[in-house]
Amino acid sequence: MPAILEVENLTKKYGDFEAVKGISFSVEEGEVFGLLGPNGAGKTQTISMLTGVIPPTSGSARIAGHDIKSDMNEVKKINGLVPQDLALYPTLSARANLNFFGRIYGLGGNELKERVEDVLRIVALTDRADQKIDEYSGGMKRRVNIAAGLVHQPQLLFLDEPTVGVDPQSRNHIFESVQRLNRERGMSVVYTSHYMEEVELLCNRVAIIDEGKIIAMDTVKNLIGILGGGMIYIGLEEVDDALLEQLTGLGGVKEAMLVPPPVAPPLAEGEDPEKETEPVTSNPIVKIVAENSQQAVVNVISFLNDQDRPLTSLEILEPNLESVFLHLTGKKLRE
Amino acid sequence: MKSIYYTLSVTGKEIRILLADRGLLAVLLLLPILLGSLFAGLNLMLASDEGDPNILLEVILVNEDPGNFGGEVAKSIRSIDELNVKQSSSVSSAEQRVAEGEVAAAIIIPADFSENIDSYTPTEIEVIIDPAQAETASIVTGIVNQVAGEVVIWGEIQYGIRTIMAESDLLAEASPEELRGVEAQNLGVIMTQLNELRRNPAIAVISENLEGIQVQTGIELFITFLFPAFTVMFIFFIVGAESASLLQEREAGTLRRLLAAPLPRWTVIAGKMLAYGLLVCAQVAILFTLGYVAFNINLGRDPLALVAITLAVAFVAVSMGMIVAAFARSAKQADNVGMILAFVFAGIGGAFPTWPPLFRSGGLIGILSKFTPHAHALEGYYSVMAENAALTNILPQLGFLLLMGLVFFLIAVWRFKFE
Repeated sequence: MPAILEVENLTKKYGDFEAVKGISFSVEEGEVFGLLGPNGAGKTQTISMLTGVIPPTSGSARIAGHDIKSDMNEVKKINGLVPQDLALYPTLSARANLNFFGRIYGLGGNELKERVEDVLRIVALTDRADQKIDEYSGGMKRRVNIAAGLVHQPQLLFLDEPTVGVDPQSRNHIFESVQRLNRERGMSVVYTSHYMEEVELLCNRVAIIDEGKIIAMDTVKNLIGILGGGMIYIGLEEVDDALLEQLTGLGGVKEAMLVPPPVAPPLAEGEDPEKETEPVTSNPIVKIVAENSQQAVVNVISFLNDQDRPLTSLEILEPNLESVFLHLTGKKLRE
Repeated sequence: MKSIYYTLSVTGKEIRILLADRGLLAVLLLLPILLGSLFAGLNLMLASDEGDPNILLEVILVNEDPGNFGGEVAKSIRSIDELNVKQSSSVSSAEQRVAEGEVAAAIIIPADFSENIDSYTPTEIEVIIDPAQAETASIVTGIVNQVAGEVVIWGEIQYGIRTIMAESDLLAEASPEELRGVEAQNLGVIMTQLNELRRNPAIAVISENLEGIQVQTGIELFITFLFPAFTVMFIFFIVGAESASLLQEREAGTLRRLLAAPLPRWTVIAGKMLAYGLLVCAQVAILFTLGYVAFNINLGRDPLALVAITLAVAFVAVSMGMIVAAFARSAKQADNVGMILAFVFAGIGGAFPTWPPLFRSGGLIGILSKFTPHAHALEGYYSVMAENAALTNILPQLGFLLLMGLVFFLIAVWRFKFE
């Protein structure tokens, strides 16, 4: 499949601060591509550059063959953006919002009317289209937010954290809508999230992004495969190289290494400041990458008992994108 | 063409949002209507109280004349609001009541009053004054002179007609009834023409300013100033609303969505400015219509001048909204700053209705007012409405407002951060 989006060495700087550090990736036509990373990783900045909201400092990108620097007007017609914020006019009805967002893409007359009805059907809000946004639930607002990005039938849809603050029912509805748009209309999607479950469910390929850099990019299956059978974190009072070698040699264990204690991710906006980033424990932590997590746990605990080394903590992580992120960055995606 | 479509789309959306914001509409439209009506009504009422001499003089009228002229004078005197007229048939009784201080004066119409007028013989109406109420003498005498003057004119004309008829021998053969008929006919025609001349005098006294433009005077002038003053004050209340609206778009993320669409950035700003500019025009139209219909304010003789000054003040107000948005950090701050600016500039610029208008007064405050758009907008409106100025007369005010608006707009475009 040809690439609808090709990004090369894209960078965004604000003075000395580098928000996006030369990232490169591509998205194939009809693909759902995930950008997974914690808050502040650079996902929104990347999308903002690709949709023409802010100019890149350096690097390049082409969308359906159009350069984002020299041909942004064409790029904007191809793109659809669903921002992280509820970018709607709350005192207007859903229909009035969608009419307006259609008009700013040059739509009018019957074509606009048909498109608005179509996207209202997609997000299942036809019956309540004339109600003010203010009167909607959080989930319904999110659905109108998505509809506003679809009204001009984009080829490439950027969904920036579209499920923040959404109830499970609306979240499932959003997932179904994205899958249907991709499957039935062949729409390519760039989906950013810090919820690994969403990315695992929706995306064919995922780029894990942290501190403005892509630190891993592959299919979900291959990324999880990095961890084999999962990870085990054990806290001990004392650790030396000899112990790490002995642990690596146990059955079911692929690798054992000393790591800094895991820390919570940066706070999201509005989160309790009491949850400030800090190490979970002051004891040394050993990370064990398992080939078979059950076998590895049994062997490690027996071995430490025999050695008379008491455990101060034990955490077993199933192989998923969350544990992949932890494995690669030493940080959790979210609490 | 596409840009115009985008601009009008943004304007349409903005108007829908404004129409849904009833609180804002109440402040921008209802409040000036209420304040304008209240101030105008109160001032008219107070002026009407001041204009009423509040004199109620008790007088006694003795009409001894059996003829028409005595009856006409008595009727006129009784119709005067300032006099409480009591009838008496005896002169001595009237003199007695004046002497006892029961009434301020006695007006005596002598028995030969009509006869003397008919024969063109000098006659007089006697006014007897209570010496203890000497200050009322001139008032009552003045009133009686006014009333008698009308009758005297009538008598003079009648006498003239008779003299002409008698000396010309034209109606020598006519019977006395025919003579009276011709006399009455001529008298009727002359009195009708006389009254018409009084209504539309051939020589009228009018007030003009130094440029030879007719001006209003008195309370009408103040009311004609009051409506534009309140209008200009409330026009600038859109500054806070407009700037907050733009920053709310940035905070809510809708501006981001607009930036991702293929419409030029300037159309987002232009569309918003156009919507608020139309709101200003609606404010002016509603308030001036109210002033014209309910308080009969003068709208001047040049509607084009009125439209031009309205468009210029709308431009400077919406540009001021943009400059506040460019410098404010949040929608809330913009709203507060806009409100403060609206009040302070209204105060300095003379939009609080004081008399004489602040922008026409000298001194430091007069000079300071010239630095506000309010003063120039008011000077323009006042010249057009109160002094019947034409478009060419207000070109300096228009120029200043447009220049000020342009400077605000360019700074706002330079400083405003879309993201």
